[in-house]
Amino acid sequence: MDLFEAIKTRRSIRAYRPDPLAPHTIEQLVRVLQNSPMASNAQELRLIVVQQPARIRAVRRFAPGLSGHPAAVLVLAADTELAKARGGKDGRDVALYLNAGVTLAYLLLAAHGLGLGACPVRSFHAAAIRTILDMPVSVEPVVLISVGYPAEAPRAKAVPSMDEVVFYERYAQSRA
Amino acid sequence: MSDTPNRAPKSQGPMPNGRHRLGGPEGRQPFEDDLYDLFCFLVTAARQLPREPDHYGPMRLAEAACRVASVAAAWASDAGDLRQVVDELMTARRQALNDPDAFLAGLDRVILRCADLERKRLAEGETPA
Ligand SMILES: Cc1cc2nc3c(=O)[nH]c(=O)nc-3n(C[C@H](O)[C@H](O)[C@H](O)COP(=O)(O)O)c2cc1C
Repeated sequence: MDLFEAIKTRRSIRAYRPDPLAPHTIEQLVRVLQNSPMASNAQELRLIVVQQPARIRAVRRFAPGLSGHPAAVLVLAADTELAKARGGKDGRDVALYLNAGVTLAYLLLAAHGLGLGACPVRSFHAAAIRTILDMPVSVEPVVLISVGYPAEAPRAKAVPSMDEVVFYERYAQSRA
Repeated sequence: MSDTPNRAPKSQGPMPNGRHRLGGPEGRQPFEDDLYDLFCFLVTAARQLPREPDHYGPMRLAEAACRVASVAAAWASDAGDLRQVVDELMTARRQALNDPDAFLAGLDRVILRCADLERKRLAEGETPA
């Protein structure tokens, strides 16, 4: 899929067919972690791929923002100690989340490119997710991504006009 | 909604993707699983909502209502009306983020449909004067 086409057509998908994901599909998807840019090249992000149905259900119980029944849930997490060691205070407090955000975008686009539907999920209880997945306290789950073959058309979405959000040369100045 | 809530529907077996269908071979367990899903959802939502946007509250309640109704519909002997209400509620819930007015209008439709069912039920129970 053409890059701009992928960016234009990717949308959050919250209903999934029950079909499982093939191992090579998951492999292709998670590989993008190695291509994502990261501040100070801190490489503090960790990705936990959850596919066991019972474990997905357990995660879902503590993630009110997770809709539908995805074939997989990816837990994008960050080793906060590594982030601090490699990126300093800014690395721990800010860059970590930027890195996770950029990587999230990569994962979402890659999922779309593979014909999968995906949705980021921020509404979850971090300590509960950590407990279910045996994560150490120093590793923070930042965002979950539900993934599966889409069973719905994207929902309508409101966006501001370009003039409202993109400026040229000075704040609030539209293109001449 | 049925007056015989504890009758198990026909066994449909476990589904892929971790859900147990109601009335699966495990006897009552799947029903309890679905209720436990809902219990965890509600407690976690209560904990998370104070740090989330205000309008997420109504959205989570609508989601919980959908789940309650889905569980009830699976156990009801005649759930035709209930399933229609659930479908309408799900449609409304999908609009919560991007079209709050449509979401509220959808909730109104669901509530009025329930009120109408009540009215009919009351009329059926009335003895003619
Ligand atoms: C960081 C982040 C967290 C999100 N959390 C949730 C969530 O908890 N539940 C959900 O249904 N959608 C969640 N979303 C999806 C947004 O609602 C969605 O991206 C937005 O409405 C725009 O729609 P689109 O993704 O189809 O372009 C999240 C998105 C991002 C980027």
